[in-house]
Amino acid sequence: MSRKLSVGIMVLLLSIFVVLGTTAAVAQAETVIGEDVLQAGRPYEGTTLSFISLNYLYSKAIQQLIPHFEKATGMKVEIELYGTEDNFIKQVSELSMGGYAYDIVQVPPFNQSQYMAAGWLSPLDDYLQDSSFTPSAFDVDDFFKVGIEFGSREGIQYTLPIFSATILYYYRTDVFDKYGIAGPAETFEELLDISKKIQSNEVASIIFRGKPSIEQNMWPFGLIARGYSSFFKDYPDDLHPNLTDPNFLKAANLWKELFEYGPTGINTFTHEEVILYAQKGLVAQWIDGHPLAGLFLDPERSSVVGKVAVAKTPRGPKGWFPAFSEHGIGIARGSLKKDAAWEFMKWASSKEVLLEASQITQYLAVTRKSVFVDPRFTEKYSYFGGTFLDVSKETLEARSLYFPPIPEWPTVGHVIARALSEVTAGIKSAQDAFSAANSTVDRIMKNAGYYK
Amino acid sequence: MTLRKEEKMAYTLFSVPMIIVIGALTIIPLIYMVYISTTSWNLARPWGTTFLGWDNYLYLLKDRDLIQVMLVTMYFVIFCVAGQMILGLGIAILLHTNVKTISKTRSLFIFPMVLAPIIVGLIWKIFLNPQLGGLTAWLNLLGLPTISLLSSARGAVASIIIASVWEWFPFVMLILLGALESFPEEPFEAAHVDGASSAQIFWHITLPLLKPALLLALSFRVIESMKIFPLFL
Repeated sequence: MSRKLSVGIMVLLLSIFVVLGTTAAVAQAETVIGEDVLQAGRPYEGTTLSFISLNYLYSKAIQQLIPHFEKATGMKVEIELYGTEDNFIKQVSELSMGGYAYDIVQVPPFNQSQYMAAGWLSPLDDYLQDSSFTPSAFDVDDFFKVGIEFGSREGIQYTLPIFSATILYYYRTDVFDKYGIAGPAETFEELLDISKKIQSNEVASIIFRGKPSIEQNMWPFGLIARGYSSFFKDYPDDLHPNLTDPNFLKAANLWKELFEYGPTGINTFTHEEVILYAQKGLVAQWIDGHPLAGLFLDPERSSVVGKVAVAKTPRGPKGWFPAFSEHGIGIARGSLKKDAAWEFMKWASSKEVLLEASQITQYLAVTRKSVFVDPRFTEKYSYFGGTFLDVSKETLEARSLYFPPIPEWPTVGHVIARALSEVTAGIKSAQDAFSAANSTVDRIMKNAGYYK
Repeated sequence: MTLRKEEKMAYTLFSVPMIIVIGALTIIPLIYMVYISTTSWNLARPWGTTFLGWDNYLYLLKDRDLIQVMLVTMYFVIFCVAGQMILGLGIAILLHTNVKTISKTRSLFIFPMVLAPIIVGLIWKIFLNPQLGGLTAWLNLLGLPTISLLSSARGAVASIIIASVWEWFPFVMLILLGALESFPEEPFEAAHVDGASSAQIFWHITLPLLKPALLLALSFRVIESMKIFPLFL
């Protein structure tokens, strides 16, 4: 038999097995998950949709549940998953041209304002208000209010929330016991004091995301920056940058001091290193996202299961501003299948799908109130002796955006992130780094027309 | 060879489609890019674009970091390209001399070049991790202290240079190996007969013959070394 024919037969057999396997998995289920929010009659049967998303817990869960949607609607969904930078580049390249390569886009939190202001997303209000498109089972009021508000601009809804993250303070109870530390830090000064006391060669005191990026070092830094000062003079009324404020510089210097008690190389660390170091037991404290809790406690990878507790993040003199960010999904302006895309969006953000996603993966950044209190959800995520959900709920309810939701934030945030990295790497003093950053941000905001 | 008028006309006409395509895909975008650089246009913020004249360039020239950025870029390009050329030349010569063991592993040398730059960056980032990386493991095995290249600015640049040399020396190697294998045997045989040493043969025969290939590899690598942003990410 010729080589080509053999290869062709092998590919055909493999495809048959994959299709049969997938179909069998769905056929075994008595009901299709999320069917209650879909239109009857399969009006878009035969349509193929394209969904571009960040490669993270939510989209991986959706990828596994896609056969349910495809079975219920007769549609096909092609999912493209990318890292942060590639996701952004691909989305901006396509959306800015009004292209139709993507029907549904997962919009990162710091890009939502930008996409909405640029007119790259289609309004959703007509779909939400028309019962023929959106049955009552979808229950838009079930979303956490701030998530829905985050996806709207000037009274028009553009995205639906699908990933709601806040930031928590995790600490090693065994290390604290060893050094006689009574409990977690409540202020940043206490955090620094504890870090000094528990530093050792084997276990670093503390770890943060250090890589200069709006989603890396800016994620935890926002806590400290806003606890002492603010990025702008008086958001939203006065958008002059505030980066040379003495209290802002104090926050930056405190941040630098905390870094001195982190592991070597912390300036380049992303959330991946934070997870890895926490799992390996190489750090005693870390401040990072609540959706990552399951990874810190993964029994197959983590050596600190049973030795970690969680608390609210510390506060500054100005108050407590736990970071919060909301990812959304929206319909691309250039999509030629908007009605069909709405079917997928409803399904992908429905109660049943979010609950099921939380069960089949570690996706716990749910955006619906009913899912957050569902017994299946609370049973699975009773981490840290049951305190995890209580602390998360309290922190989520404090909901403090770690960045101003303005379209210029990705550029401004990058400038601040870079200046911060120069400070922590010892390249420049806080005064010099943020003086330059202040001038740059001032220019950006002036060019954007916020003031003359 | 002189061409007749009709032949010249034919050659010109056949070149027109190519000129149109190159013009449309490179010249026109280049001119447009220069125009955009005089405006406030931002791909991710396309509204409210205004003409700024030379303001963007003046702003760049006034940036206190510009000199530092240019120095680091120059430092990077020089050391990076030098490393790639030396390593590439060395391996090409080894492969050309048909040393048995090395010849059998010829295809392995190309492996770094086929990886995506972002993957190369990840590999080296993990390898250079001061607590968990392979470099630390090897140093500890040899009883040597840990080196943390990524924790300082200079070390970070050195890391990128090492990663870039590792990734692109195969490119230089392939160009030079191709050139080496196309050389005529006679000059080398004559040199052997005349009693020239290996070093003399390399310096007086091999290198001069390799000059065009070296220049080609050098120019490619200098240009490409200035575009290694994915490795930084």
